[in-house]
Amino acid sequence: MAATDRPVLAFKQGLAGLFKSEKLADFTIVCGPHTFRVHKAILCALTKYFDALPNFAEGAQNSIELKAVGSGDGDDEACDDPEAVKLMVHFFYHLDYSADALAIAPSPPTVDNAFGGVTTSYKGKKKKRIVTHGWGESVDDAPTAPTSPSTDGNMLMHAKVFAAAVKYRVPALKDLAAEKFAAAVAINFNHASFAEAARIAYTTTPEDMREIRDQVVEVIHANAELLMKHDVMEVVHGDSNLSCELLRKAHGMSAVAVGEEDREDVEIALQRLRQDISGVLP
Amino acid sequence: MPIIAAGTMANAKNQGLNGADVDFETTWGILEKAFQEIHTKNASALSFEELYRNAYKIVLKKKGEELYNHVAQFEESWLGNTVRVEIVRHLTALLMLGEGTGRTMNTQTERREAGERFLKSLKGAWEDHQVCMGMLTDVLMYMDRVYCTDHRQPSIFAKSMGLFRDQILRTPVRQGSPTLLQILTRIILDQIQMDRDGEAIDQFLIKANVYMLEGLYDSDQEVEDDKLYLRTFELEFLHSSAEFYREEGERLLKESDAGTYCRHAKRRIDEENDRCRSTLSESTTPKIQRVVEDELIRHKMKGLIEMETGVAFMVENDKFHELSLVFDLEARVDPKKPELTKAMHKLITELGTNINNTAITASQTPAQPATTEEAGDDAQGKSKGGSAKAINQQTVAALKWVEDILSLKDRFDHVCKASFASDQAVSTAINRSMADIINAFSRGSEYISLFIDDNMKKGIKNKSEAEIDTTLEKAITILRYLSDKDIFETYYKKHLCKRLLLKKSQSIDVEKQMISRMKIELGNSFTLKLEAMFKDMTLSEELANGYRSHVRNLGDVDPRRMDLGINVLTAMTWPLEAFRGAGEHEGNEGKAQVIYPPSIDKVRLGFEHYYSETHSGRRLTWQTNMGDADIKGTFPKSKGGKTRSYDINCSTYAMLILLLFNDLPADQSISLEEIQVRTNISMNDLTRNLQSLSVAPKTRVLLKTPMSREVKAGDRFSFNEGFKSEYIKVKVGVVSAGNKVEGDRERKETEKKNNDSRSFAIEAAVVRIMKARKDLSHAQLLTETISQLSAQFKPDVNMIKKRIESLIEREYLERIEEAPVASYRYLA
Repeated sequence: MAATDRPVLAFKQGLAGLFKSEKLADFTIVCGPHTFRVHKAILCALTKYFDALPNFAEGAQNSIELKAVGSGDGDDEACDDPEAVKLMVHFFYHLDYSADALAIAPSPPTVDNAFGGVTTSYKGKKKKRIVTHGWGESVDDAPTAPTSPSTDGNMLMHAKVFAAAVKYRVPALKDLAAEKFAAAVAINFNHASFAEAARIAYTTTPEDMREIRDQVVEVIHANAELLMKHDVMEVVHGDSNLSCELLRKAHGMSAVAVGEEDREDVEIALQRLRQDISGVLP
Repeated sequence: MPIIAAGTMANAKNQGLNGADVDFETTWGILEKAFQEIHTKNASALSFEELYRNAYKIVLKKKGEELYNHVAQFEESWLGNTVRVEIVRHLTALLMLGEGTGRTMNTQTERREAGERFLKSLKGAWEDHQVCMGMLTDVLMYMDRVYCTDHRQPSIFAKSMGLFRDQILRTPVRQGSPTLLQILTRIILDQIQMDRDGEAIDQFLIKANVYMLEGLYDSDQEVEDDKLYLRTFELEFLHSSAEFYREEGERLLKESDAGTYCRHAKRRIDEENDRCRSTLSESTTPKIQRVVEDELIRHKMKGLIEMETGVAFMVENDKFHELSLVFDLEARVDPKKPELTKAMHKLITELGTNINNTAITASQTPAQPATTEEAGDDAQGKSKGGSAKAINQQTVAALKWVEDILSLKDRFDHVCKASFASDQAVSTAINRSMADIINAFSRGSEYISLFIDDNMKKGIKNKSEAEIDTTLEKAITILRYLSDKDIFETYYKKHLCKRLLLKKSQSIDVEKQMISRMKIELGNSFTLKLEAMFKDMTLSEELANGYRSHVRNLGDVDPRRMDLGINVLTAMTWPLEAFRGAGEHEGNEGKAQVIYPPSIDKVRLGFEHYYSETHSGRRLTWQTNMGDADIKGTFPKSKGGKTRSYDINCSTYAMLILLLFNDLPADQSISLEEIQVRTNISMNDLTRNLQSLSVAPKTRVLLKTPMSREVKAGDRFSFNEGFKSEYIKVKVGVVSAGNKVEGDRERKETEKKNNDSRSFAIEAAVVRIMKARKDLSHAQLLTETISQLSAQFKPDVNMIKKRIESLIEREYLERIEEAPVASYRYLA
């Protein structure tokens, strides 16, 4: 193990060192308040996006400005959260990242928070059921390590990093963010940021990338009380895909149709289902 | 839940996502403008981030399809309105080319340059398109990933390649005229033709255009087999090449010689290979090669080989290199080389038949040199035994035949080695052809045996061991081809018999070597009887020595007593009929016992006695016709001379005749009839011996009256007191002592005998097979019999049928009546 580990470790350290020292850095990424001095070679090793630059102005200037959310022209969906970009760049050099802890701490294992005893104990019961259903490995350690760096609970940030990874074509980061998102959601779905995270998942990622969408559907399905939250309901209501998937789930089907012929049937059924849902909603 | 509401941000924008139709036009506007810049090579000021973000935004808003279609439309109009117009502008002068008449009107150089201009403009357009679409693909990366994958659309790059194909290549230049693709194909083919004619062309330029065709597909599905190159250009190329080479091949066959043709074909193939590498596509190499091979080789091989300067000419003139070229060419198209092997077969058959015919003609013309000599030359010639003169023309023809056949084989073996890389297929064909001509010659067996005979008797004299070895090997080589080995055995036995008994062989060692070689080549059973002959010889020598010492031990040492050398031969092993004279009939033999004078008879009885002591129960038959004798002859003084004494070597019969004159006064004579009565030698042998003794000038020990060439009834003989000879030793030859070609009657006899022994062999084989198999169909029995006997001879099917019939008659076999096919059953 050590024989193969050591060179990898050394390389990782060297990589992190390069980022810190900015030695030989030949490119600049600007996003909102942040400026990063980076190395083209390393970017190109991880993402296709930066391959394209030499033909454009950015190639000549050796810098790029990634437009930050809220910078003014009202197209925020297509812009980046500077924090997410920061984590992405961090990933380029560390092959890992950790988001900041949530602004408001999620309910700790103890029973004394704003959510009240009833909710917590209810949640605890749910958890057990989920585990017995064999719901996935990330869930297993959820109750014990909510704030560990690798599974830090900031699902909103993970969703944003995931979206950025898709946008900038960084497959390795995409997988990592999806993993972290799953772990975070499993613990923190009751947190206020869940609704926003769900919205990010359904509006900024392609439909066929199921990684974090599946998590959202599963969690809402398994924890029906989420549908009692106004903000969550608003997201569900606003996105027909999400409502449809939830309904399929409720009928014990998979969230999305797999087979080809199935797809057509569902298209027809879709209209009916939407009406059904809107009938149920307040 | 106030806390949560406060914590969410920007939720208000949520609804704006779906209501952004107005946005699309503006965003597309930005992109379109940028694309315009990219196509006009003005991209360096564009911000990739901005373009990417805008395209990303459109797709996020689920307008991917619209974006895709807009880009496609943009490309379509750009290619159709800008790029194509530019290319067509380069084409105007060339359009006439399409009408065919233009070919002669333009000079070669003009045409080439015009073509190059067109190729250059198309290459430029293609390369620009590639670069631009590369950049567009970068900008639209997200659309490709999300929209195209989801909706199973070709990527925008692939789509735009299809547009290039449709807008540039497939659209007619103007109404009713050919498309650019057709023109392109024609121009490239034209340039390749120039290349074939030796004019330098811009290979890279063509290669770039081919590269374009390889990058485009017949449909938008981009199936590998549907490459535009394969679907259009390559087909045309192969077609026109086939036409070109067909014509060229035909012309060359008419105009040049075969060697040049071969070199040319080889060069053309190499050229086409190079052309694929440098100018077209490597994937075409095997196809064009096949075309050139078809047109220049496969379809022309027959014509090439049969040319006046073709294979026959090459073989005749030792053009080994050119033959190897022919070989290389055919080996390229067919590992079996059918045409070449056919040609070899034909050639060998032709030359071989000539040799056979020459031998037949030579053997049929009477021996001419003999007539020029004086009377008795024949007998006198024979007396020298080994001299070349003595062998009559037929024997010379036999030796020549063998030498000719061997040299024919050597020649083709050499050709095969030098030119055909000792190829298996060709050498098999050569061997088969050799076997055919050797077996087509009815006297082959006899001639081969005679060849060995001649060499054994004198050919190997003063030769080194290696040379002897080569000679033996030659004989074996030719023997290998012979199918009727049983006939050969008959002749060989006959010839060997004479060699051994008449002591004509130069070396018994070499004889034995030959036998052991045959043993290796033809098997044990073949040499069994031959070896027995040698064994008899050895035993006889021991016997004679034993008898000699036996006589010495008797004490009665009579100096005048005759010494006896004897060969005791096993009757079945030796072909004694070999000694029978040409005029003799079977049956005469042994009937009349010759009368021995007492001095001889004593020795004979003495030996018989001695022999029966050691070998009881065996009967000795004296073959007086085969013996010879050494006699000391004393002739009285002539005037002024002294008594002459000669050692006369003659046949046993001659000895008996001469002994009669011992008791006769010098002035008396005996008539032919009297001699016959007193010796009881058959008249035929008698006349022949008397002829040697009284007619041949050098051995005229007797005088005949009247003096004439022939010995006739009533002739009288007396002792020739005046006999003189230069040598002390005088050898009296007897006609037909040497081995030579058989006469027709002899041959018939041999054939008959051979057929008889074959009949036995066939019957034996049939019985052997049936005994093992019990029931067998007729066809199977035939096949098995033939295969069993093939080592000995090639049995005649009719003969087998007759033998089977005969076996049925004798109740060895019976027909199975109820069998669906003719079958036999073995009757134990």
